[in-house]
Amino acid sequence: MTVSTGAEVTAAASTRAQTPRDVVIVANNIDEAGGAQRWARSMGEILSARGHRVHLVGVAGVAKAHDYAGEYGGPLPYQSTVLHPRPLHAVAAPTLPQRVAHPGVSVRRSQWNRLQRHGAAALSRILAPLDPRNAVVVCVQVFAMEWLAQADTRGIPVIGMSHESYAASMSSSRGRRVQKLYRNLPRFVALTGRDAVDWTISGKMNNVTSMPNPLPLPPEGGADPAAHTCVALGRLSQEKGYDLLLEAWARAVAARPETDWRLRLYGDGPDRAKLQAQAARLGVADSVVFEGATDQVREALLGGSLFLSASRAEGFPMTLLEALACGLPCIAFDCAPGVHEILRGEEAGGDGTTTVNGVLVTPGNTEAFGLQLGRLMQDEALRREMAAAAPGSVARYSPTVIGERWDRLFDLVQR
Amino acid sequence: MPEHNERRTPDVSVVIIGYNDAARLPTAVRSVLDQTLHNVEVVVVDDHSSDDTPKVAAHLAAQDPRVSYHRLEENSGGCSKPRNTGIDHARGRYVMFLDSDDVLDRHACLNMLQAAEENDADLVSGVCIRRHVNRSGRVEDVPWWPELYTERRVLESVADLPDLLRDTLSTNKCYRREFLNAHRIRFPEGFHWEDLLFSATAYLNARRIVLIPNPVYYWEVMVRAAAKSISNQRSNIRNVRDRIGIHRRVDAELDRFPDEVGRAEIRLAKAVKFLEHDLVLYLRELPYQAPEYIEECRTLFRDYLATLPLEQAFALCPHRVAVAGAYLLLREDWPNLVTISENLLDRTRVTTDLVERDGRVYWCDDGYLQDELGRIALDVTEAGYHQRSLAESNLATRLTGLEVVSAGRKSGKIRLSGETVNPLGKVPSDAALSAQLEFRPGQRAVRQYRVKVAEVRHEGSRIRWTGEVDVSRVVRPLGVLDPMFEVRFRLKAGDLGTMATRVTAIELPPGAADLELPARPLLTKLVGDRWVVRINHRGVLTLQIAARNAVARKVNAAFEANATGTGGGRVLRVVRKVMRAAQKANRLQVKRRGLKLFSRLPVKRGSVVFESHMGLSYSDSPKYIYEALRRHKYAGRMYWSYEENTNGFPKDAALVKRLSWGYVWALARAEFWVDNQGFPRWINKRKQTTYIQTWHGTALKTMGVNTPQVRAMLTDQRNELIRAVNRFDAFLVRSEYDVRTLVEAFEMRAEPLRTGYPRNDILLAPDVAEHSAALRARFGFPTDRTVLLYAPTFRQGSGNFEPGFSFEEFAREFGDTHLLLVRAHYLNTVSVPASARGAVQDVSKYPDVSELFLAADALITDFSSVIFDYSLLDRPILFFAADEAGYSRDRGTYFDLAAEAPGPYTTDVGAFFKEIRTLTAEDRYAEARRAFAQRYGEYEHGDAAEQVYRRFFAKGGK
Repeated sequence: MTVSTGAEVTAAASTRAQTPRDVVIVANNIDEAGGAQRWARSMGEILSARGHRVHLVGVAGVAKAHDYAGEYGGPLPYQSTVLHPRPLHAVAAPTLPQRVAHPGVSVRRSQWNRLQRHGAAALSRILAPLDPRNAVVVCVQVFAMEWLAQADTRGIPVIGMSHESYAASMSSSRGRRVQKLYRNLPRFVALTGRDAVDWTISGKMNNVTSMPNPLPLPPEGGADPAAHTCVALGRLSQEKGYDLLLEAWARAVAARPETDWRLRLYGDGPDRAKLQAQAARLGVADSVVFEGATDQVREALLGGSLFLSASRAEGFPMTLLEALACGLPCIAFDCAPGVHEILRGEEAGGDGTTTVNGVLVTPGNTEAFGLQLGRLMQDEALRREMAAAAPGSVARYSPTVIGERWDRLFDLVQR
Repeated sequence: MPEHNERRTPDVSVVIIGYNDAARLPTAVRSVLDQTLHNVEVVVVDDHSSDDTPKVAAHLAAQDPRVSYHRLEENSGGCSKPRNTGIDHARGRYVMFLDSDDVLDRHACLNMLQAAEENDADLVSGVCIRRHVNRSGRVEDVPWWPELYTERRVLESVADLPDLLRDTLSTNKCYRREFLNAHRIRFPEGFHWEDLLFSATAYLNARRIVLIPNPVYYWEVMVRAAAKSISNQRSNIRNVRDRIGIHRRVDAELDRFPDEVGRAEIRLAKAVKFLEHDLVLYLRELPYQAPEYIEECRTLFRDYLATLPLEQAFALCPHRVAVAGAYLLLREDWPNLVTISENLLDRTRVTTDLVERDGRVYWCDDGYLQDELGRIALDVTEAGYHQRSLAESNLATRLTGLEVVSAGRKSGKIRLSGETVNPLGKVPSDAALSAQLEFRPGQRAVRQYRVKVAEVRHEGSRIRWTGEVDVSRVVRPLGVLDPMFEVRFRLKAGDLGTMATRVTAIELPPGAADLELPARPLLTKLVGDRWVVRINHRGVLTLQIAARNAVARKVNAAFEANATGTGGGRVLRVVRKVMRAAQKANRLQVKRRGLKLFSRLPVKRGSVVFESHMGLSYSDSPKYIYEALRRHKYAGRMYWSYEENTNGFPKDAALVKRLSWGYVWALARAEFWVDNQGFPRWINKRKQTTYIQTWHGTALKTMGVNTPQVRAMLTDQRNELIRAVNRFDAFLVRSEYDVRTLVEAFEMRAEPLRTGYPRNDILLAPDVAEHSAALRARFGFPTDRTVLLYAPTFRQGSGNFEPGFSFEEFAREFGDTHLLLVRAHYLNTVSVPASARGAVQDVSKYPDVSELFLAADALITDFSSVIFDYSLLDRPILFFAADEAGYSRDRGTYFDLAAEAPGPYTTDVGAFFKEIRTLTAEDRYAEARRAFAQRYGEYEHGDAAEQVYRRFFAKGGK
C-alpha cells in the first residue's frame, strides 16, 4: 500500500483551466482541522493545480493550528494570509436597554467595529492589485462576509457559500445573516441541489446554485473489511452525536457478547470526559477506544472496516467522503441532504435504507442504528460488496470534476 | 464593472416593449442593466408612442451601449408586432421579454443562463410573481402556477409534463434565439392572447425544457387601475373570438407534435385546462353581458368544445361545476347554465336544487341523466355540497322584487323580496324559519346592520321571503371609506343553525336602477347624500353611496384620485401609514416584546386562560374544569382562546383569538393557565402564574426526551423544548403509567396531579345510562341500531384519511342493524360517500368526544389513545389495524397493543366484519377490559374537575 501526498494527488488528477484567474478564498479561519478549513485547503490545492493564482484568507487566527503544509508534503502551492492573527470573540450590537444598563457594552461594540474595519481594510489591500475582469472572491462562511461587505471589492464578483444544510443554517442566526449578506451576490453556493431548492423556495434566496465538496483523497479503497474495526471521526461535541453513537454501539455489542469488534473514535472536544463516562456506564469501555485527535486521517480510516456517523447536523461531510474513498461502508443518520446525496439515497429515507455504499438511519433512532450496525458486523459478504462499491460511488466528486465545475462557475460570474 | 465590447455577443437579449409608458420605462430598463449577469442587451421597442417615450428611450440608449431603441412606423395596438421586432433586432444567444410596466428579478438572467447552459436547453421557465397592491397599500406577491415550479426539473419535451401548458405566459421564460428562428416561432400579429400561442408553440417545439423554482418576472398588477389592460377586457366580443381562434391554432400546432402518445396526453391536459380555466373565465360573467354578446360567445364556445376529447376531459377535470357548465353549454340549456355562472362567481354557493341518484349528487336532471356523458358531466358529488350542514352552506338567494314603500327627506323605506334555493331538502319543511337582512360594507367589516324579515316560508322547492327596511335610517355608513354595502340574507331554521349568504341578481327589477334614497353618512352629507341600488361585479345586490351635492362630489373625486394612485392624496397616505403600522404591530416579534412588558404588570388575581387543542375547539378537560368553575360561581375573570371562529365557545367567558394582542395580554397577566396541549413555546410564563396542564391522553406511542425526534435535536432546539415543558406546574395523570410515560419521560418538574381526567368525569358519573340515552336522543340516533364509534389515530402526511375498509361495504353489510360514527383525528379529515350516509356518519367536527363515547355502544379503533378513556365505560372495544406494520415503523409504542388489547384485535377486513357482528352480543373480553381500565386509569373516580377546583380555585377569584 502506498501513501501518496496531497501534492501528488491533485497534480495528477487535474487538467488546466482555460482562463487562469486570481481566486481569493476567504474563510472564518484557515488553520483548524474542521470541515470548512479542509475544504478551503483542498480547493486551494485543486485550483492552483488548474493554473489559478489562489490566495487563502483567514479572518481570524486559532489557538492551535493544524499543520497543513506538513500534510501536503511540500511547499503549499497557494498564498495564505490571516487578517487578525489572534482568535476573535464577536460582540453583538447592543439593544437600547442594554446600552442604558451597561454602557461598557457600547464601548466593546465600537472596538469590535473598529477591528472589523481594520480587517476589511487589510482585505481591500489584498484585492487592490487584482484585475476585476479576471478575479473571483469565494466567501466560505457567512461570518467572513461581514468583512467582505465592508471591504472594497472593486467589482470583483463574490461567490458566497454555506457549508451546512439549509435546516441547520436556519436553526441558528446564520440563516438570517445569509439571507441578508448574500442576497445580492451573483451566486450563492449551497452544498446540494436539495439545499439549493430549500434556500430558493423556503429561504427566499434567488441566486442559489449548488456544488458538492471535492474528494480530499483519491478513491482508491484499501481498507480491510476483515479488520473488525469501526471508525468515527470528528470533534467530540453534541452536534456530532457521539452520545447516540455509543448507545447504538452498546446495543450492537450487547447482542454479540463474544465479538472482537472495536470502535475507534478519532477526535477531541469538550464532551470527551462525559463520553468516556458514558462508555463506562454502558459497559463498552473495553471495546471503545478514544484515540484523540489525529493528523493521519487516511491511516486512521485504512485501519477500519466500517465508518459510523451519528451527527445531528451536517453539511456535505468531508469525513464521509474520505471514508468512502478509502473503501469503508458507512452507516449514518440521515440528518442532511448532503449525507443523503453521498450515500446515494434515492427515496426519502427511513430506517435501514440500504444503498450501494452504506445504510441511512432516521436521525436519533439509536435502536435502528444499533440493528444496522449489528447486521453489517455480522455480514462480511455484504461489507465486502459495499466496500468494493464505495470508492466508485464518490468518483463523481473527484478534484477534476469539481475543479471543472468551479471553473464554469467562475466563467459564469464573470459574464 | 467589466467593460463591454460592443462586438461581444450578449448572453441574453431582453426585449422591452412599451406604449405611452415613458414614466415607467426607465425602471424596466434599469432592472435589466442591474442584472447580476452583465453581458446582457436591452432591445427597447416602442409601439409608436405619442408621449415622451422616444426621448426617454434615446436617452437610455445613449447612457449605456447595451441599450438599443427601435420605434415602429405606426401603432400596432398589441404586443405581437413590437415583440417580433425585438426578436429580429436581438443579438443575444438567448431572448427574454419584458413589458415596460414590469421588472425582472436582479438574478433572473443569470439563473436562466445557468439553467440553459448546464442542460443545453431550448427553453427555461421560472416563476412569474403577480404583484398586487392591496387596499392598505401593502405589496402582496402571488406566484403564478407555483405547483409547476416546486423543484428544478429538466424535461426532454413537454410530453414529460403536459400540465406545463397551464403556464401560458411568454414573459417568465428564456428562449434560445436560434431555436425561435429555426422553428420560426413568432407572436401572431393582429390577435389578442398572443402569449398563449407563443408559449404553446415554444413548448411543443422545444427539445429540452428546464423549469426552475426561482422568481423571474414581477408582474405589476394594478388592482384599481382606471383602465384595464387588454387582457382584462373580456366584455369585448373580439376578445372571445381571438381566444377561441388562438386555441384552434394551438391545436393545429399540436397536430404536428411528433410523439403520438405524448400528443394525446397533451391534448387531454390542454382540454382539461380549457374547461377549468378558459371556460370558467368567460362563463362566470356571461349572464351579465348584452344579448348579442351572449349569443355569439355561446356559439363560439360550443363549436370549439365539440372539437375536444370531451369524454376523457369531463372525467378527469377536477373542477366539477366547470364540467357541468361545458355540458349544459353543449346542450344549449341557458336557464341551467345561468345557475352554473352564479356558482362560478362564488364557488361555495349552491345555486340549484341538485338531484340525488343512486348515492351520487348531480347538478340537475332534466333528462340528461339518461345520457352517459350527462351522468359523467353533471356529477358534482366530489364538490361535497350535500355534506355541509346548514350553517356551513351557502344557499343562493336571489332578489325577486324591490319597491319603494315610502320615501321622505330623512327616510327611505323599501320592500325586498326574494327566494332561496333548498337543495336536496337541506331546510326541512317542518323547520321553524326566521330570517334577517344584513347590510355590511365588506368581508371583514366591523359594522353591520340587521333587520328582521317579516315573512319567510317554504313554497314548493324554494324558500320565499319578503321584508321591509328603512335604508336611510338603518344603514349608517361612515362615508368615503365604505362607499358600498352588500346585502346579505341570514336564514335560521330551528336548531339546525343559521345560514348566511349574499343576495344576488342577474339584473335589477324594473325601476330599481333609477331609485335614489336619502343617505346619512356619519361624516355628514359633505361626503355623500344618496343611496343607489346596484348589482356589483360579483353579481351581488349592493347599496352604493352617491354624491349629488357639489361639496360631496369634490370630496369623493379627491379620494377617487388617491385610490387610483394618480393624485397627491395626503389623507390616503396617512391612512395607509396607520394601516401599515398596525400590520407591523401584528408581528410576532413585537408581541414577544409586548409580552415581556405586560408580564411586569401585577397579576390579575383569579384570572384564568383556557385553551383546548391549540384553540380549535371548546372541548376536552379544560372545558370540564371551566364548567366546574362556573358551577361553583367562580368569581375570577375567565378567558377562552379560539383559533378559527368562536362557534361553540361559551358566551359567558371572555373570548380571545389565539396569538392576538388580547391573548398575549390575558396570558401575561393571568394567575392560572389551563390547557391540554401547550401554549406557544415563545410565551414565557411568569413565576406568579400557575400552569395546569391537563394533557390530552394517555400515551401509547413513545413520548418524551428519549424519542428519536427529540434525541436528534441540537442543543438549542432541545433546550427550547425543555423550557416549554418546564412551564408546567401541575400535570394531570390517570395512573402511575402516565407518571412513567409522560411526566418522567419529559423530565418534567411539574407535580403529577393524581386526579384522573376531568373530561372522563361524565363517563363515571352515576347517571351514565340516563345521560347516554339523552345524548342519543339529542343526536337523533335510532334506538334499534347498535351505534359504533370509529376513532382511528392520526395519519401522517395526508389530510384525508383512508379507513382501510370501504364505508359502502359496511353500509351494505350493517346498514340495517348498525350505525357507524366516524371520528377522524383532529388533524385529518374523512369523506363518507353519499351512498353510505345512512349507515355511516362523520362526527369529526363534533367538539366533545366524551359525549360521543356515551352515545356509542362500542368503540372501534387502531392505535388511538381513546381506548384508555373508553375502557372506563366498560363497553366493548374492537381493534382494527390495517396498516400496523407501517405504524410501528414510524413510531414505537410503549407496549405491544396486539398482545394486551382489551378486545378482539383484527388486521383484515374479513375478520373485522365478523367481529362487528358478534361484538355486543358475546362479550368475551369483559374481564380483560376491566383490568385494562384499572391499570391505566387507577386514579379515575369521576371527580377530577372537583379535585382541581378544590386544589387551585376554591379560594380564588374576587
